[in-house]
Amino acid sequence: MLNLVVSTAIFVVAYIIIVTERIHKTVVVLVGAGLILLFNILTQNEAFFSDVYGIDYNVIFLLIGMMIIVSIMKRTGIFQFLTIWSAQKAKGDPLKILIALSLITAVLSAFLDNVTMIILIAPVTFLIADRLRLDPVPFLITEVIASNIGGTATIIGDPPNIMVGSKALLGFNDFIINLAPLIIVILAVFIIVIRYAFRKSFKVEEDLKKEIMSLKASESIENPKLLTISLIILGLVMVGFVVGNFFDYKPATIAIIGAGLLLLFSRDEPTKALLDIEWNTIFFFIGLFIIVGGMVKSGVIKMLADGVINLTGGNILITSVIVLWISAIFSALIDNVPYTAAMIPLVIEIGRHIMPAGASYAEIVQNPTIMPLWWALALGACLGGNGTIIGASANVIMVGISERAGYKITFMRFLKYGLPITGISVFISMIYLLLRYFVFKF
Amino acid sequence: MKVKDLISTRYISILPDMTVSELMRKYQETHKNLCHVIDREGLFLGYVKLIDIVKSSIPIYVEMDESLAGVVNESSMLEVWQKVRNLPVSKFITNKNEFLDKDDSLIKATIMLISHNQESVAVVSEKKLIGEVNLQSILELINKLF
Repeated sequence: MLNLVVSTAIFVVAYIIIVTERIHKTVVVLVGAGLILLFNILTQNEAFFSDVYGIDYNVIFLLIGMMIIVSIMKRTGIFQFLTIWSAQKAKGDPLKILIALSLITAVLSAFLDNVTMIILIAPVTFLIADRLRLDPVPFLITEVIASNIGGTATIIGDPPNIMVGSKALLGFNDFIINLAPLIIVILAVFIIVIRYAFRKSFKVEEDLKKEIMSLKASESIENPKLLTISLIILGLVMVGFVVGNFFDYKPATIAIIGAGLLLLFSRDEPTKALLDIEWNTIFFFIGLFIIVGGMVKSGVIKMLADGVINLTGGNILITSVIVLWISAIFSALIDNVPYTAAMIPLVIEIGRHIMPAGASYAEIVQNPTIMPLWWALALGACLGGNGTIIGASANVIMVGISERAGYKITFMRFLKYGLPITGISVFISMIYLLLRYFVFKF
Repeated sequence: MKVKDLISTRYISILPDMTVSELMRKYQETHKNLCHVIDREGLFLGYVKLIDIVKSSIPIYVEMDESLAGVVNESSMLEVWQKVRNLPVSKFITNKNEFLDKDDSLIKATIMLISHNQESVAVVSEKKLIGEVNLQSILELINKLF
């Protein structure tokens, strides 16, 4: 009982401090993890090596592997080239450019980290807006929203998906099959909405459009040889994600192999790529896994799961809808990573209630009955990030870059765009979940 | 060996309300890369470096992503420069707390020049600029001593 109180207190206090942003979140969770070990709620052995309570190394190494790949790829200039090329294909028309940049961001964000995507696309956006003498803010906001939508489509697109995929034993293909079709629909609706919303917003003279056409897109490719190598290896990694599923190779394995190969063939000093790894994020995950592991072991999560089951009468349809909307609301207001970390064991516990005693871990988490809960959690946690300026790391980074360039984006200005899109996308997700998993059951 | 032994009074000082284009003329005349900024009472306010002025003429998107440098032509730089040239130099003041006292040591002066990557450092007494220590004078002194 004491462990239950202490682990809950550590989690709640850590959560509050993270929300208030008084201390860096990585420091908060590492101190919290230290306390979990100090009070022996988890032993060091359990924290480091237990599949149930410990650090999820699938998540850690998938993140590290992809961060190395992106670190090398971003130096090739391919993303800048694609963006300028698409603006030229749009013949300098601002509305078409807005749509093209949103689509490119969404598609690339499905395979790259959203924050990296925003860091890469923001400077090109300033360039295009500058040449067209337009306010870059609508472009930036639609790009970051598209990035959060696109990132929801795959296991590697957004951290909550990586976490859900790892614990629910879901692979790259599972996410593509279950979430990608929905994300295509949401993206189509998003494009229709922005097309309507901005239809009268941009007035640009023909001379300025010609300036876009005069940009030398190919000049952004700095290292063609590295680009070729990177594209080949990224392609192999994507194939590895798909095929690896059938040979029980987890995404982390594929990402680490890809990162190793890219470091080998790029013939670059590894230090640069290794320094580019967001170590803050990696240690944030490590600390968080230990804190949540402590809560699982002490029985807090089981208690919460019992509460949810009592509340919904064990009805998975109602539970899925609640998980979807609660996840979206929480993710719009606070960091979706600790939220997802706390929710995953709760879903597992609900699964345990449904299965007969003695069922294996795989049977519990892969039980078709609880699958909608996994998808509801992933969708709510990822799409909810669009709700507010602080809902996702990519939003915060985009606002910072914009401010540096002299364009301040207020909380309310972002909310005006983000909240309706979040409402629409979560509503579409709810309809999708109901139809796919409860009506047609495919 | 103290700063007072190698202090030079052949420095350039400017007022903070001078415009960038006026400053550029001054740089061209003197062939220096750094000016000391003082107010009308002679109080030291900081430095304006030529490199910072040049940097400000680069479009923000190129500053954020150097791979875009080849994508645009020089006209984008000229557009930015048109805005920058009329700004007061006060917008570019840096390192206002980095200066030497006349009793500081030679080694402190050398380290300060190196760590701030500057050709000279101001010598300040009672908040007023009284001279500068520059790389040239340090080199000459070292050469004389050893």
